[in-house]
Amino acid sequence: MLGKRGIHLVGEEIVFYILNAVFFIVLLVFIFNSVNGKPVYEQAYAKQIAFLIDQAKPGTEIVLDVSDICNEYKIPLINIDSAKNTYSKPILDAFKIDDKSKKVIVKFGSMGSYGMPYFSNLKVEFDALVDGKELPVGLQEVQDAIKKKLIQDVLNKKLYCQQLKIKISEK
Amino acid sequence: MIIKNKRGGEKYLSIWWFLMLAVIGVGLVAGVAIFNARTIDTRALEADILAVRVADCLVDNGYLKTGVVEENFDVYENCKINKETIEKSRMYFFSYEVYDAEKCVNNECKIIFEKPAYGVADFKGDCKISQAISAQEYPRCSERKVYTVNKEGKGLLLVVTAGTNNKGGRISGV
Repeated sequence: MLGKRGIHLVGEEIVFYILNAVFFIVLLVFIFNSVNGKPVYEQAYAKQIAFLIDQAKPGTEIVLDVSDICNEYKIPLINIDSAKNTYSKPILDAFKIDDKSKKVIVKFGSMGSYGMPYFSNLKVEFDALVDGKELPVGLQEVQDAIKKKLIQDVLNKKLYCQQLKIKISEK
Repeated sequence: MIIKNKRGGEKYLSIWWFLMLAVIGVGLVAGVAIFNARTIDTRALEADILAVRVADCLVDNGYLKTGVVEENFDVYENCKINKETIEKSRMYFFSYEVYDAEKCVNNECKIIFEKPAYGVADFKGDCKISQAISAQEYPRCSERKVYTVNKEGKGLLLVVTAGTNNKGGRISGV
């Protein structure tokens, strides 16, 4: 039978190329996910905030500009839950205070987070600010504010967080 | 000389090809993992912050606070420092001494009061090692000296020493 060897050779080559392609795709995906520096930024912000808390006296309010990080990692300003008629602030998921273990926890992605202990015994609270102002309390007010003032990207109507307020007070 | 029915040896070399790819892949992954796992060393700064905080809370408007030189003075309550973090985390240490600033000879003053160390007392000695040689796992310390007076107007020297080995860390599953 003529040509039999040729069919066998083509099959092997196809498998060879597919395996190579899979390898390089996996490698490139890993590299693109890793070069954004999330772990390094998480560490830097966690330590910066922990030191601010340790130095602060009761009654201090610190406003930290995190707009560059929010824009980089697309952290939205608010998440509206129409079914429950409420909204949440994703920045408070990215920057957390664990009062029990006295840690500042910063998380920009889905692969873990960075925790930095602090030794201050004061009460610490986080909140989200936009242009130095707190977000309105009611959902309708938030939606009105979005339409009137807070839209940054009109085409995509995406809003990213801007400022983190750190409030230190007596327990 | 013509050799017929010879078969190419390329498919036998593919094993080495994939081995080489694996070595490259492992190297890249290891490099990225090492880079992301590196710690920004801020221990010296944190030790300084702790020393300043303690020194600030022991002195009020230039006067040494009443009770600082007594054994039952509650530093944690007065300085708003979390006791559990200092005592149980085994990452912090601080202590303070009060010297008679009016009786100093060759920069050495007579000690009036020495408070036992809070936290990991061993850090005081360990810090001297880390200052002398490169010792990554040893704590970093800071010292603050404050000239102050007591209510009677007697000159005093408050020396606060603080140390930390807190590096933070990644948390999985949060």
